[in-house]
Parts: sequence; C-alpha cells; structure tokens
Amino acid sequence: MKPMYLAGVENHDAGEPHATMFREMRGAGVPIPQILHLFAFKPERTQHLSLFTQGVMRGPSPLPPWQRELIAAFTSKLNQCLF
Amino acid sequence: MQSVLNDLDNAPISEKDRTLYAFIRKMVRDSTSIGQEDVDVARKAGWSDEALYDAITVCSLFQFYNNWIDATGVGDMPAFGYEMSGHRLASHGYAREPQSESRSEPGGAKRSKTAKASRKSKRPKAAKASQGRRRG
Repeated sequence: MKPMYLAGVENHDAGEPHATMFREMRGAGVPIPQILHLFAFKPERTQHLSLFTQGVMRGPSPLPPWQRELIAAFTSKLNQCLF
Repeated sequence: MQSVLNDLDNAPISEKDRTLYAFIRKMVRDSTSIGQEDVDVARKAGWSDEALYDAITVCSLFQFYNNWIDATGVGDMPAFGYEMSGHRLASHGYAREPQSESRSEPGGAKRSKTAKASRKSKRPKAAKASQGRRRG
C-alpha cells in the first residue's frame, strides 16, 4: 500500500480501541485499511462519525441495508469520474 | 448491482428504483441543480419523504468519506483486505459498542449467519468504493 499523504496521521500512536485492533491485524498479517488511521487520530470526535454511520447505514429505514450500500457504492463511483 | 453502477439508464431494475438512483446521480453531479421538481418525480414514483431523506443522507455521508480519503491520500488495499473488511462490516457493522453505560444508541447490530452470507458479496464493493480509489 502507498503511504498516506499525512505521515503524522498514519503513524500516530493510536489509543484504544484502535491500538488493540491494529496490533491484532498486524499479528494476523492483515493490511490495516488506511481509513482507520483517520478514525484513530482523533477518536473522541470520530466515534460520533462511526455511530452516525452505523445509524445511517443500518438503522431503521424504508431502504434495506443492501440498497443503502448500493447508493453508497454508486455515489463513490460517480465521485471517481466528475463531468 | 454492477449494472446500476456501470449503466444506470439500461440496468434491469424497476422504474421506481431507477428514479431513486437517477436522483442520487443528479445530486452528486450538481447538488445545486436539485429542485422541488426532482423530489416530486421521485415521490410520484412511489418514494416517501423518509426514503428520500435516508437516500440523500447516505449519499452525502459517502461524499464526505470520498472527500476525506482523497485529501489525506487513503489508498487502495490488496483485494483480500476488502474481503476482510466485508466480513468485519457484516458481523460488527460500522461502529463498535460504546464503552460507557450512558450511551443509549447501540453499536454494531448482530446479524444472522444467512443475512451475513447474503450481504458478503455486496459489502466489500461499498467498502472498496469508500475506502480507496485510484490516485491520479
């Protein structure tokens, strides 16, 4: 994997629960998704983003989770090629 | 699913669904172009305000993630990394259970094995799309 632009964020000494998560992933030879470094850098605020995301993607809704995931994937794909 | 991502206008889906995804497409391309008329088309197709609110919120949230990872240089993982993310998302969701007692909102919801198996193929795509994209 290419390093992130912000080495200070990627190599930040993470607190819990990320520190344990990272240690276990490294131990298992699993690549750490770099997005997790963004969460681990300022966890007091990103925990709210995680909870919000959980609600948006899995909370009660007329849209089933698979459809919300499709909208998310579709959005990301559209963002890759702007008109 | 792939047909919606690759060619929405010709995907073999209901017109109701096509209307929803076309709304999202317009929103991503130029959100300032969205007007009452666009919402009215979606409502006419059968979508409730709640469904539209949820779809718009999903789209906005992932535009936040796309922006966040673009500017910080979060990149692609090898394929098996997405497979593992898919498993983790299927069993634990997007948020861990909060540590303190006082939080009312639970973290990841537990899911049955069959639900996990049926979603496995879909989630890695979303995780892949949101986590890493080719850097130019």
